[in-house]
Amino acid sequence: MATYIFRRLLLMIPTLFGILVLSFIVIKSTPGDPASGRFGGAAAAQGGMNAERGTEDAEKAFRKNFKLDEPLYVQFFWFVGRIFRGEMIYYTKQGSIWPDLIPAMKITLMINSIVFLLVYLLAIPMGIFSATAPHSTGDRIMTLTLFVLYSLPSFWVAEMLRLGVLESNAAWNAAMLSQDAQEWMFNYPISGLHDVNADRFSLFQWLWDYTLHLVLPILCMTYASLAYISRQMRAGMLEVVRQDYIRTAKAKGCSPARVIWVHALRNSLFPIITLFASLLPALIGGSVIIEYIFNIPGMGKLTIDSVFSREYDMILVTMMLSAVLTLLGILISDIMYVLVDPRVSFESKN
Amino acid sequence: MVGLLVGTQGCFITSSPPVANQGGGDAAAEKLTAAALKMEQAADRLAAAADRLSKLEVRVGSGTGSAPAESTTEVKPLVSEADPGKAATSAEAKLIREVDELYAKYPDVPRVEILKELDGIEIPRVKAGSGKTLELGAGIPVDVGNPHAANKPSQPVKGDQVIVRFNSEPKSLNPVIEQSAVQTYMGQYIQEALARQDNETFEFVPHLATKWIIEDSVKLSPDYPGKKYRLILSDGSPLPSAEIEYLAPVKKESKGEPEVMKIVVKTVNEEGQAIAKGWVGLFPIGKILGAPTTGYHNWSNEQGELVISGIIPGRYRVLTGSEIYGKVKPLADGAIEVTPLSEENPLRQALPPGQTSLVLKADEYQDIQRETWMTFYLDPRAKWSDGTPFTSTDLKFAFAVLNNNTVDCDAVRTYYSDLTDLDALSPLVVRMRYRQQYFKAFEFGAGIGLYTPPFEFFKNRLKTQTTEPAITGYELTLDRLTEAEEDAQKKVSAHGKRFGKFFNLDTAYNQTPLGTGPYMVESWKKTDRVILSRNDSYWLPERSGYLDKLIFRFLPDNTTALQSLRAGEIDFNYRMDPEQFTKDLAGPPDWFKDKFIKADWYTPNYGYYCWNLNRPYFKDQRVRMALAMLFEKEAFLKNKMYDLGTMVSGSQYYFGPGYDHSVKSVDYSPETARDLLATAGWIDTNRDGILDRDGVKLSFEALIPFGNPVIDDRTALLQKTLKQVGVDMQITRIEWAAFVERLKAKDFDLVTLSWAMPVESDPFQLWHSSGATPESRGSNAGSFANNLADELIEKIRVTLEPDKRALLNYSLHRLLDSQQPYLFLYCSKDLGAYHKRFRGVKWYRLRPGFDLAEWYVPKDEQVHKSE
Repeated sequence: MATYIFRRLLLMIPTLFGILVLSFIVIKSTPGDPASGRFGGAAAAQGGMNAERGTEDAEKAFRKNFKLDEPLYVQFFWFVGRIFRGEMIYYTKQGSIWPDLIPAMKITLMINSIVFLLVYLLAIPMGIFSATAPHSTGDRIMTLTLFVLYSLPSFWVAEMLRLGVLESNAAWNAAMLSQDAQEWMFNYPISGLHDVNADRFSLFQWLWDYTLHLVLPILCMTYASLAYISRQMRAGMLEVVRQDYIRTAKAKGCSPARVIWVHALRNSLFPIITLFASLLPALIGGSVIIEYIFNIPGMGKLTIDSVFSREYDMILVTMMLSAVLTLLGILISDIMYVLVDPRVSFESKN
Repeated sequence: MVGLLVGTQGCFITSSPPVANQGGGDAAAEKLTAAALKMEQAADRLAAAADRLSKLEVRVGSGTGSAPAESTTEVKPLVSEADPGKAATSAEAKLIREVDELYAKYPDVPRVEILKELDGIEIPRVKAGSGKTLELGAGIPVDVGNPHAANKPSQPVKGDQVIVRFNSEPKSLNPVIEQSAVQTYMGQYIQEALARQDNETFEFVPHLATKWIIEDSVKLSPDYPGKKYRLILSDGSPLPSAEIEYLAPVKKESKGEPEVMKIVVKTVNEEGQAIAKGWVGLFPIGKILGAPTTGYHNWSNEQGELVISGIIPGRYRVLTGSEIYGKVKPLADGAIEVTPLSEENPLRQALPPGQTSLVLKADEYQDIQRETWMTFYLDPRAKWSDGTPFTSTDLKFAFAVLNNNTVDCDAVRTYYSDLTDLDALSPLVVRMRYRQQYFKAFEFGAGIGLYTPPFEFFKNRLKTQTTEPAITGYELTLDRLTEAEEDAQKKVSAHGKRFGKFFNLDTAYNQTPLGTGPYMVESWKKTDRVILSRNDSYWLPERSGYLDKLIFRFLPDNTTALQSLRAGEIDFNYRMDPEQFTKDLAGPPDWFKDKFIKADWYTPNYGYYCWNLNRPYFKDQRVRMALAMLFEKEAFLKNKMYDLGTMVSGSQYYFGPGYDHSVKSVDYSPETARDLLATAGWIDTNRDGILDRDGVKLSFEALIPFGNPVIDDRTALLQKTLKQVGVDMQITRIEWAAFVERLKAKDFDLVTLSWAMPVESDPFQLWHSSGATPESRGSNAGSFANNLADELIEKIRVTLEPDKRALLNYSLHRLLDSQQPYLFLYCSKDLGAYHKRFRGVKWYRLRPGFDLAEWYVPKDEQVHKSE
């Protein structure tokens, strides 16, 4: 098994290089470059200054500094050299990207871990439930609900939730005001991760405030995946319960619970395991839309901002990170196959 | 049907008319009839146009409705008599008279008339009443639209805080490195200038400097007794003056940068010994496009050497001579009197005892550049927020940093490249020299305070910093040292590479810059907010802020921002879009009514469509003018901008000194536009609904940046009205970075954007023909080039007399209006909503338009109590 994993890891190197080259070409073939973010005018011109003069020469110097006028291969090797030294920078401010990337990654990782945990905790039992009683009223209701949820766009749900919260805030506060109970007035937060005065809070207050801020975005990110994963679970389970060995188990007098939890569950996890490969990169990928709406400084927001300002280093690093995680995810799910299914083995037949 | 087509000139009506009553119902027939009618009118107009061309007559009152055939043939004699009845209102007449008076006062300013007609076709103008509605320089009222404030008078008091929404986050708070709008808006409470521009009068008033003395530069002739100057060109013999031919860069055969010509000049005395920092002036012989008419001014280095490079190719006369400065007063016969004004002026000591000025005969001096020497006297009270005094050393440090090539401030460096010298004469006196006469020289000089980092702070920071371990513990110096010298002396030079890198990357100043202003940076929570807290030991207590904290939250999305206002997460929602401001807050809704106040105010900006004048169809002035008549400015402002803006007809700020209010915007008039296009030869010969000329269709692409609803709306409207007269315009939306790339490469037909500018802008960058070349990636994206415009622009730059410069600007305004290189749209208002507990709120006509240091909350309404 160790040799197998080692071989797979070695194979990842050329794959990653290929991905690096392709990503680089894709990024470079988008029109525009970081100079447009710096000297393009939008932000700068509003400052009232760059609209006036001076940008042309400055832009020239900038492009020269970052080798933007050099042939593509020169830029590529310059980039590869820096990636090995860990010198990834913002072109527009020369500072390293890591002080921004790492906190953003932490935030996204934390939020997504909660989301995945919730999704799996809910989806697996739900899938099993609908598979064990297919076409029952319960299954139908669940199916309908999940499909409705699945088809609701998350940006719309997010906006609706926020509006709902605002209305409730207003109603609650009005009620408290009329009761002359101002101390009970409260605004449920609808954006960001912390209150303005969070740094003055006690640990408990801080955690409570943090939790309140997290509820809405996590809700929005959970419901769609929930629908998807539970359907996968249901399908996997349905396929398994139709098999002969399950009938045998039933025939030999196993309790229904034992049939499901002991005999069927393990085999019905295959589709979920396959999905795991795609989950790992998503764990740090972040959701652009939800992060934007709730103003959460996570990876999604960071990445999209970098794309718009053509921060090549940041884009490439996030792309490479998800490439590495995808490859690792595939490797892990392959290993898990073997662990779950004894028929699959690392050793080739020869 | 044939009868409908009036076409005696008949040059284009060749194919058979549409057949009306076959197939299709009545509606279709009606449409066809209407189409035929339109064709007829077009034909008629063309006929009339042709007629007019030959007879040199003009039609009066081209109706904006569908003019019946008869009226179009009605012709009356020429312009001057046209339009008296429509009686420009007295206000309008007054405006025109005022400009005329100025022309009479300054006969040397080229006079440009407002374009009344083009090729015999009268230009429709918007009616009076849409003119100057607000007087410039009028006092700005306080707490407008806040009845709460009016009902409950209060006195300014300290306490509470404001949370302001910004739509983007700066990358750095270091003003030298970053100059984004958001950085500048926060920076105005942290960094200060030597002279501050008054928010209401736009005048410069003393701030960090209590006073200043401005003197003129005079270059003596090379043979002036006792101050003989010579120059040596490429090791030749010393000459009093020379002529050179500067050649255009030669492109090398192989790849690489083209070789730029370099000419080495040495400044020497009669004996051939080098003179350090000697003046070398290059004056164009004849007209050289783009080269300053007042010459290039340079100074040699310590070794007396100067490399001339990168100037506009052409023949120049090279001069040298000693430089003195003082107030110049012209005397008879070309003689001048130079009076030293400042105590520190060396001329004062050089004069014989008892003499206060020097008289120079016409042949004793060669050149005068007015108001280029500025001596600032700093306020002794001024200090940084850490308590250290603000001195001339800080300014000298700023000058070194800005000119340090390693410091990541290319934009400011180019911006300040004409500030050639900055000398600290004493801890509180600093003298600057601007390269040449320029109307913004003072603004630059006084503005350097905004880019000044604290010297003492950096000196201390270097002792403990870890960003650049190689120089930790070194002492900061303003001397120029090599790296070896730095290591030997354990000093680091502010001019050097290592300091530059440290300055770029060290977080201490980049994240919490120190300033002299009323607020200081308390913290910056990345991606969320910047908190400024009041500097309680501010050196100028009378201008101290009231609010304890100014908090800036970064919320890019407008919807999120409005929700946050409602949720009480922000107090001031800055930068709303017109739709939100009017529709979402219509009523206003209950949640808004009792708590918030809407505010709208003007800042210097205008929107425009820019025609690419390299496209054959846009080369024709008539086409541009016709297209300008096809945008329903008035209707758009009313319906889509909810009247939150005002139409403009030129490129200066509507409320600034350079805007000619007697030029009314070109009005929407498809009929006239059609006439004008027909005169220019654009006629729908093949009846496909699109005008054509010589087989080419009048069809082009409008390039617009993605994600701006106002731009989307206005471009869709333009597309619709253009289509009505048979001009085909496709709209391409692309994302910003890609948009900018195409804009700079001049790879577009039509683009739309807005300019944000200062109160009075220098038109050079936008309109001078030197920026019209294909390789120029500057702001003249449409490649506008006009000799008269060039002349006006060059004069504007060197004219120091405000009235005369205003008149030059008026002339340029009128010229731009007649040439229509842009379709000038409108100056839009900035929009916001804030909590009604704030008082002392004023909306200025400068960017950003508010000064939070003036805002306060009455004691009993304060929400956030300070501990």
